[in-house]
Amino acid sequence: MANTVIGSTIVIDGEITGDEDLVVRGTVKGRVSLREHITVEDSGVVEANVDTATITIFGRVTGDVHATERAELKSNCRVVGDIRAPRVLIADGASFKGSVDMDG
Amino acid sequence: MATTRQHTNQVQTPETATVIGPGIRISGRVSGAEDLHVEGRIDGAVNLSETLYIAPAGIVAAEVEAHAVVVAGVLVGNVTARDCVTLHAGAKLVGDIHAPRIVIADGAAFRGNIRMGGEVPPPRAEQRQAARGRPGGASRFGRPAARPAAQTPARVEPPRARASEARSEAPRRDEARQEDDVTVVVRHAAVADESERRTRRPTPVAEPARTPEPPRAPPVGAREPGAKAPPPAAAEKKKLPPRARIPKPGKRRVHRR
Repeated sequence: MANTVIGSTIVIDGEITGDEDLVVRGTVKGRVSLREHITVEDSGVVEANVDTATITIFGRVTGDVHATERAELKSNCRVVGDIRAPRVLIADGASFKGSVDMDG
Repeated sequence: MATTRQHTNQVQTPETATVIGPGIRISGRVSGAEDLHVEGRIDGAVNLSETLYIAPAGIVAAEVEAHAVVVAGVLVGNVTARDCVTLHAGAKLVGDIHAPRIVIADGAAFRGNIRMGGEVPPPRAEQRQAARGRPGGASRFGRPAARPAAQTPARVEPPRARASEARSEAPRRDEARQEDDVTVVVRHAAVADESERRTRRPTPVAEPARTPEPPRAPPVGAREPGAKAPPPAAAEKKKLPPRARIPKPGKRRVHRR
C-alpha cells in the first residue's frame, strides 16, 4: 500500500482528507481528517485540527487532536491543543499543553 | 513505462520525495522544494521548485507552478514550468501550458493553449497588445514577438490542433493552414517566382525571344533582372503576413481564453 508522505520542504495549506496512512515531515496547516494512522515526524509541523484513528507525534502539533483509537506523544514532541482519544500515551520528555479527554 | 519505474523507485525511497497516496485528497495550497508524486487528488494550487509527478491514478485540479511537470494522470488547470512539461500516454490535461519545453506523447489528451516562449512571456503578451493597439508600433514589437513564436510552436501545433480540432474555431485554423502554405511558398520564393512566371505570364516567354537580339544579354542574364525585380515586391508582400500571421493564433487564443 502506497504510503502518503509529506516531505520536509512541503507546505500544505488547506485540508487533507483520506483513508490511508499519512506521514508528515513537512508543514500542514488547516485541517486533517483521516481514517487511518498519522505520524508526525521530528521535522513535521502540524498546525491544524486533526481527526484520525491513531496518531503518533514526534514533532510539533498545534491544534485539537481527535483520535478514535489512540494518540501517542513521543519524547521531544510539542503539542499545544486538546486531545480527545480513548487511549492517550505521553512519553517522558514530551511537551504538552492542553486538556485530555479520554472518555472517547 | 520508464516513468512508472521512476515512480516506483522514488516511492521506495520516500525520504527524498513527497507522495500523496491514492486514498488522500488535499484541497488547498501545496508548496515545497522537492519532488511531489500525486497518486491521489489535489485541488487548489501547487507550487514547487522541483518536479511534480502525476501518476496514472492521480488527479490534480490546480494551478501548477513547478520546475518540471510529468503527467500520466489527470491535470486540470494552468501549468507553468520552468523546464519541461511532459504528457505521457493516457495523460489528460485541460488548461494552458507555459514552458520552454513541452513533450506530448501519443495517446495523451490535451486541450488548451501552449506558450513555449522564454521566461518573460507576460511582457511579450503586453507588447503584442501594444502592437495591436498602435499600428505604428506593430513593426517594432511584431518582429521580436513573431520570431520566437515562429520557431517554437511549429513543433507543438500538431498536438494542439489534434486536441482542440473538434471543438474550437475551425475557420481560424483554416486561416492558419492557408497561411502556413503561404510561408512554404515564401521560403522557396525564388523557385516559385520562376515557375510562376513561366506558367502564368506570357512575357517571360517573350523575353527569351527578345534576348537574342541584343547579344550581350544571354538567356540566363535575362532571367536574373526579371527575377531580381519581382522578389523584393513578393518578399515584402510575404514578409508582412508572417509578422501578423504567426502571433495571431497565439494572441487570439491567449487573450480570448
